[in-house]
Amino acid sequence: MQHRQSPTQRARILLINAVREPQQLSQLSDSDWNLLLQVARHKRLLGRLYVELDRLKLLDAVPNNVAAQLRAANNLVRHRQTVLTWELNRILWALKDLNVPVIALKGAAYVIADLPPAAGRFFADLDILVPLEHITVVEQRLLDRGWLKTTLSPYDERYYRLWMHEIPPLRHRERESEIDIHHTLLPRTHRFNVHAVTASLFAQAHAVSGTKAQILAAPDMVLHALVHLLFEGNPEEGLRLRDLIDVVDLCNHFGTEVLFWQQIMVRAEQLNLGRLLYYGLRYSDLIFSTKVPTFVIEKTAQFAPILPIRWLMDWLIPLAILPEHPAYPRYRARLARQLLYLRAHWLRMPPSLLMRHLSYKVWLRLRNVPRYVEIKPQDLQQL
Amino acid sequence: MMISELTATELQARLTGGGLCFGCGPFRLRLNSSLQSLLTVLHELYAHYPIYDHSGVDDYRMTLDWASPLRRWLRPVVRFSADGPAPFTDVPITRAFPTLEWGMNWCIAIRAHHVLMLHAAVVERHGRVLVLPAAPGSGKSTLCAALSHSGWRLFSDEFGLIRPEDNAFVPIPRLISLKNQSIAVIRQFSPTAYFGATYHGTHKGSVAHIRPPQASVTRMTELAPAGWVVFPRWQAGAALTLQPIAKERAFMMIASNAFNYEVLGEQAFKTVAHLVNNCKIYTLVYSDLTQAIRILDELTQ
Amino acid sequence: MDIWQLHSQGALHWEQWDEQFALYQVASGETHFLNAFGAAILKQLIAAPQALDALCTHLATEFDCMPDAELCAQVSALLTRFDELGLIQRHDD
Repeated sequence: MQHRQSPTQRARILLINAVREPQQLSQLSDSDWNLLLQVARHKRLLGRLYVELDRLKLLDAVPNNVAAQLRAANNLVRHRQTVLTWELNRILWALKDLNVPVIALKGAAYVIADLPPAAGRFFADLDILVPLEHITVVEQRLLDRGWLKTTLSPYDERYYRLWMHEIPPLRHRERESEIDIHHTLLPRTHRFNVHAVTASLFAQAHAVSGTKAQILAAPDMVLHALVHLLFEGNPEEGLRLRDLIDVVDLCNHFGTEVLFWQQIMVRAEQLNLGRLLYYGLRYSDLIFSTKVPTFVIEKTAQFAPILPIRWLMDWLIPLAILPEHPAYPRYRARLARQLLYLRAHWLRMPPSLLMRHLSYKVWLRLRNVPRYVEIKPQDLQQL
Repeated sequence: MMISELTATELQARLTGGGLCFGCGPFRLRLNSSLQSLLTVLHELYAHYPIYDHSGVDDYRMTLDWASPLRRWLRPVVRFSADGPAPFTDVPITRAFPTLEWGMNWCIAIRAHHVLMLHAAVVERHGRVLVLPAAPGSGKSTLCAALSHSGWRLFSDEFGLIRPEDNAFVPIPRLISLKNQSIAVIRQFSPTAYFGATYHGTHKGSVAHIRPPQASVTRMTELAPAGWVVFPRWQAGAALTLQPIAKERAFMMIASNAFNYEVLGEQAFKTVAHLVNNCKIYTLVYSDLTQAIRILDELTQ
Repeated sequence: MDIWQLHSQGALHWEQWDEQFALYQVASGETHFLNAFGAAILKQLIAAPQALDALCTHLATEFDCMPDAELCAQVSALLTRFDELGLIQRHDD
């Protein structure tokens, strides 16, 4: 039967099955592993495979050098998670007498609250949310306690301050991780501006044992994961599969309670994110068969776009989010990723601003931003 | 079966077909290339590496090929890649082989986080390894080349791989890469050393590769514990000195020398501590290679 | 006066060579190098939370020196640094 599959189908099925049914991983052939390791590496899911196999006590049941590669990836993940949670710890230390509520977002939240998406998940930087009225004092305090502004061009600095939902990233002088301090979940210029209700994010937030950082309430957390999935991203990666997996994991985790589903629908409407919720649940179901109660599907149908757009998105999103076979990349998948990237940018900014921003970025690329690193990157200087 | 046992046609068929699968230390590599000029050099310098069949799971899948079809004819440049975007700028075809060697190092350095990776040359004798951590101008490759042609078994010229589980060093007998003056020094010191071509004008100056002695490849699955760590420093005209160094200083030097000390966290701390506590550790300043080899021989008797 | 104690996430691995120490801080993944004096301060705080003056008295005995202002200033500077590194914290935090 396998021979009837196209290479793309084979790559996709391998990866999705690996995420959905990791207990089957011990049955894979060597050639399956060769393909799965490539696509999982590209989608940054190797750490997750390690954690699942470890949990199932199946690491001994896969080929030795598969286990070694997965362990290597997971060591990197664990290191990033340690570094990011520690950065959060130090931020709370620096801010402790200010009495400013701090919400850990995304990766840091999953790790400190020990939520399913944390398992083997690689996180690049630390994101926190503080109320807008405190952001200046928070930034100043961190600058006083050893954090530094990352050097930005005046254009980027202005871009952040005026139009974004966060301030330019900071980095501690002795550590490597960047922290993004947000004051709301969406850029100020975004069509779905949720700024007015940011205060309610804090009102609903939950405490976590063992830390002074809070996490978003379950419905807000899922909506934020969806914001990340559908409104961010870059043209190369398009939508990130691992961001969709975060949504799926969270829905499976919180969705055992009916109350969660009722709340998330109310909240989506309040925050003007109904369309986003519709898409999120639709593709969680289509791609990972996530269990969404019928009444939720029926209710969120009201947020669906008109039929032609729905068809278009049903074509674009799986194309952009699912892996390609590395040896047979298809042009249309690249196109889908670029279209969705443009869409995300379109929603972030008014058209005139978008034109200015994109043309500036293109100009930068034409001018001097190299496509490849020189052969002497610093850490390899001696090789 | 070894790479040298393939005919040129068979080698080419593998490189342009499913890939040339071969073993180096614990890793299984797969190389794809349509570059004719690679055939001879691989045949000679990779001669003793075992060939694997196409089933089996690869650790690194590398491609070294024309940057684009057009670039084959017009100022020909080639590109190295491994499971993703090219890490380096394209290079002229004349430097294809050194780029392959650097590319392989790059693959290992950014990915092999299941082991602690020291940036060091490693050789073995009497069942224990001598670790020579690198610092710019240390001359570790020169020493490594000389030692591995003087009765020591080559583990690696570039990577000291340590398994955190049992603190054993893992051989990875890749080519020894020599730069500039050290090429002539080793040609004179070890007439038996098998050299490839010298590549001039790379970002490191002139570079030449030595094929790992056959025994180091046939015994590449035999691990060994550490016996000695020596931090070498070559200094023109210097008198030979070998001095023990304090353990805490050695700890700091080894930890900062590793490629992935931070990544391995607690495992790295324990592994480096074990190394420091179970080895004799010295600094070596030398100007004369023969003297340096003699004193290392005496040290490790 | 502040009472100092080991950080609540204070799991540490120690290696000791004569008068020198390497310390692995599990929560941060960082390795710290300490001399005998720095190590003595941490070990005092592991044994029991205490204030600066009590700490100085203990250290003066251990290192056979005067518990004077100079010693206190040194200890105080180290406490500030350890606090920044998250090795220790104030008792009421």
